[in-house]
Amino acid sequence: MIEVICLLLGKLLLLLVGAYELLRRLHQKFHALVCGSYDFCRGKNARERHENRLLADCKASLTKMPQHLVLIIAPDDYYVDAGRLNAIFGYALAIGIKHISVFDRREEKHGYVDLAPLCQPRDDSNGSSRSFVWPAKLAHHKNGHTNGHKKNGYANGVNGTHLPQQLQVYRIRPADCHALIADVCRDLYEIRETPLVKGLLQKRESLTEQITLRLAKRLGYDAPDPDLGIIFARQTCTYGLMPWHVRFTEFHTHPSDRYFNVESFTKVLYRYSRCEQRWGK
Amino acid sequence: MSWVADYEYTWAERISMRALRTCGHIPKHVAFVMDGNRRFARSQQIDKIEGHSRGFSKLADCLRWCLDLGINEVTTFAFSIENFKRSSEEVEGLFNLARDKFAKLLKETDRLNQHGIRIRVIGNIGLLPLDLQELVATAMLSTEVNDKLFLNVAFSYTSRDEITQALETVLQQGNSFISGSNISERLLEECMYTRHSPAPDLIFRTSGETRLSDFMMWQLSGSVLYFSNVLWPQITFWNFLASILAYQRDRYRLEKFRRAEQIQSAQLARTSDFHSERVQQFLQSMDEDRRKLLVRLASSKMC
Repeated sequence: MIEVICLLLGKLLLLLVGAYELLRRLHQKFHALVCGSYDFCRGKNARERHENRLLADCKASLTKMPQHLVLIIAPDDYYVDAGRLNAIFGYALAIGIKHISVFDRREEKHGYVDLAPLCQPRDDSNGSSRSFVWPAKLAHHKNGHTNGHKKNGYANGVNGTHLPQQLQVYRIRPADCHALIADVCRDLYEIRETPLVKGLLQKRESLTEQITLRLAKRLGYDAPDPDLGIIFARQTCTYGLMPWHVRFTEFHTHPSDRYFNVESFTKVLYRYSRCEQRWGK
Repeated sequence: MSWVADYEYTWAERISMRALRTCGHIPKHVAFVMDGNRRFARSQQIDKIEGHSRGFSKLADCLRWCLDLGINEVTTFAFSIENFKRSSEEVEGLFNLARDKFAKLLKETDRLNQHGIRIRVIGNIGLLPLDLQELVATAMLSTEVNDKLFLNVAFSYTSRDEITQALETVLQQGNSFISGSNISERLLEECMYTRHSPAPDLIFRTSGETRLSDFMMWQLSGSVLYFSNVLWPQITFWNFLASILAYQRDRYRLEKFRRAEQIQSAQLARTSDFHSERVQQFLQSMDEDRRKLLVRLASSKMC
């Protein structure tokens, strides 16, 4: 008898959770539609003025700013497209973030965004197609425009402060995650008889440092470890993102159905700013 | 029993647990980041070590809930290598707590064996005081035949250290067994401390922090991450059940990704000759060395 009651309760619970999820998705879709329509109707200039004002307020009140933001896009996400990435890059540049990595787990036929048409390969990228700068071409500073984005009276950046002219953008591939550590191990294994490796095996910290150096060399760019990650998915998962590099990254999940605009971006930054990083202490 | 509490369920808790167990998929492996002990101590105006002690009591409750729900592997992040940066007073206090708990565990080995609970300590135990190393090794050896519930205690652990240790093992011991072409992420996975555990299905972190603090970074690629605002010593059965429900909701969406990862791992094992006799001998010799180390550490205790 108890078993039957539990079974019925369980089914009821699953039904309620399912119904709640459905209603939440519908609400988010409706919200996205309303916000999208509003943004469309008020025009580009008004929207940019609003964005710059919000970003300026946000920048003024943040106690800490991420240096490196990583965007994780789930294999089943359909929301993040080239336009959305462009907008996020714009917000990041305006607020003073220097580095952005994009870890897009989708396949090409399922929405994968190629960064090459959006950005410009970095001069030192040696054709690796991993590191870029954004925006592709620096716009002329004229009529209050900076980097192709109106700053609404702010001479340089949203708060009158000096900001980088271009954003460093990196593409992370699945092969840059666990496989890259295996590559480094293989490299070291090939030279295991050398004094270098024999010396590294005497002290684990030295080996750790050597792995960090070799990973950076293989990645082909020099950027700090990501300190903030936004996961575009309906569940929180890292999808195997760089296990060596994201150990202290703060993750925030943005459900795929919800509209992502400057408000969502600043909300993530506020939450990040409130987090206290204790570094084990 | 101090490591697994004799928790008294209310009827509502009992029915809810049975309902979840009957209708949904129960995770096989759950990992906890037990965060918030010190903040709890501050909020209650009690000593930090007392906060940690309350946190341990909650772990005992949690293990009971896991055991009763049918979860057969639990990993907890008890002490990070980064925690050595804390004041010597606090670090010593934590070690004393660990000494006390492992000593109690050894006294109740019979009950642990009765429940089939195997304790594994994962981490760089060489960094611990010698007497604690001895206790840890003895606890691991005295429960090594059990196979109903695996409790992995990450003590003196960080993922970076674990990954470095895996590379170190390959570089030091691989010489006579493997060639460069055998080295892949599949092989490194088998050199981790968690070699005999499946990847965690669910990672549960308390205290509102949304980072992983260098915990199981290699293993959590396809895990559901669940962050809760509750402080660890205040966690209730309902918080725990909410995490299981969240896992049941999210696992379907991750299933395709996890399956693709498994297929890729199997392909990688084939191309890197992972199942060859040489590689398996290397792994076997690594296991033997690890066990010998434990026996050596525990030897004075066992005698």
